[in-house]
Amino acid sequence: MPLFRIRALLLLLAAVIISALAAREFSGMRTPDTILPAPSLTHSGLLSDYSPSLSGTGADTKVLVYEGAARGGTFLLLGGTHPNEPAGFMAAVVLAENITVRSGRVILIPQACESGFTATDPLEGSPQHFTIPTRSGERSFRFGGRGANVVDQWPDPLVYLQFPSGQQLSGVETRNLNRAYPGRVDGTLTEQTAYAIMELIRREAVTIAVDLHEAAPEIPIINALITHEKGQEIAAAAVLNLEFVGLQYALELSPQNFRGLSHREWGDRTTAIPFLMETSNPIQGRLRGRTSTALLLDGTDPWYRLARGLGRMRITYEETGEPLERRVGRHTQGIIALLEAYNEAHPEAPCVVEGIPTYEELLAHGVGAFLK
Amino acid sequence: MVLHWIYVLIAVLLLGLVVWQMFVDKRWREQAALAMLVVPLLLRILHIK
Repeated sequence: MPLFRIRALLLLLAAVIISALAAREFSGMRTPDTILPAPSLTHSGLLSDYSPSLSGTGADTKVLVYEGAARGGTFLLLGGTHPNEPAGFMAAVVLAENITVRSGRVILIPQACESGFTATDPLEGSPQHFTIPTRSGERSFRFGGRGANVVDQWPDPLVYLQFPSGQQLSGVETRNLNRAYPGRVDGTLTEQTAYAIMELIRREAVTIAVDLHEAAPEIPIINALITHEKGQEIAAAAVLNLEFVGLQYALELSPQNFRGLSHREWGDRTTAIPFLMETSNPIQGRLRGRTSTALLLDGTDPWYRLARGLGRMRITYEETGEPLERRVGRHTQGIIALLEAYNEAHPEAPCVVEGIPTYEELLAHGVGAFLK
Repeated sequence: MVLHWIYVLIAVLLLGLVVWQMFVDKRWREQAALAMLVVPLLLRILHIK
């Protein structure tokens, strides 16, 4: 055999070995994260229970239900709508592993966009996993991309026509769960996911719903609580309650002409009162430097510190950064405040939940202290 | 769904052409560049990445 053919054979063999190693790495992201629910868990199911078209797909995800002894309101919490926003997902996991419901029900979907947890966004250099020390040792969680995995939903159109509004968005948004509501049963995988969540809200008669997010420090809606019109009074009371514990939140009204968002479509199309909360996450920012697990967990970045020093930032970037415990703490404290305000407004059917760690507790002990 | 399988078919054809070219090209730089192309094509065809 000529030398160049032997060389081709060896190079092909090398390519196959590299592919196998890469495949092992990427396939690791298909392994679900371990969530160890609190003993008060009543039952768990799958999102496909509400729309069988999701069954067996990469988008099917866990639904955890906690019921109180007394009747009351039903609270739905979504984490992981955007899998590259770990505080939302981790806040849902912290609730899943700690809460006890006294009255009403709590329904948790910690990884709403399960498909998105199986791949990171291209060209971002994101870590695939991060670990948190807990009492039982280190626990690993996935860090995914903003939308569903292209392996599960492809191709992206040049222009995404949102259903049913016809609103035009960038093609990549076709895989963004928070642009897909109300979804449709025979649509794309993301639209099917959105449809199943809408079905869950209707069938379970959800009364209050919260969607947890993060965004880059330079995005104006950072540290905001976004509400549908019908939740304005509850949101205002919650923001006031949060001021009392030293946390500032911007109260934002859900835009009526921006379709597909959870806080818009859940509010318009179901009886639920929807809210969305955002924290500041430097690993999503355009100014960030090295994109590492340390940045994800500590939220400290020299370039954001420099921008802060130059006075170029719209928000206050703390000298100590935006660590995960602070971001998760803002979400848990926000949930406490929203539930208190909701219960004050609906004393006939309250949703009373115990065991949600406060902002101060998370700052003092870290996220790992509230994981099993 | 049809588009998806058309895409996979194109990827398979492209992989075949790339491997074939690797075995007919005598220049080592080109062979190495073609070998690098094999990795993403294989991962895509196998629905891994």
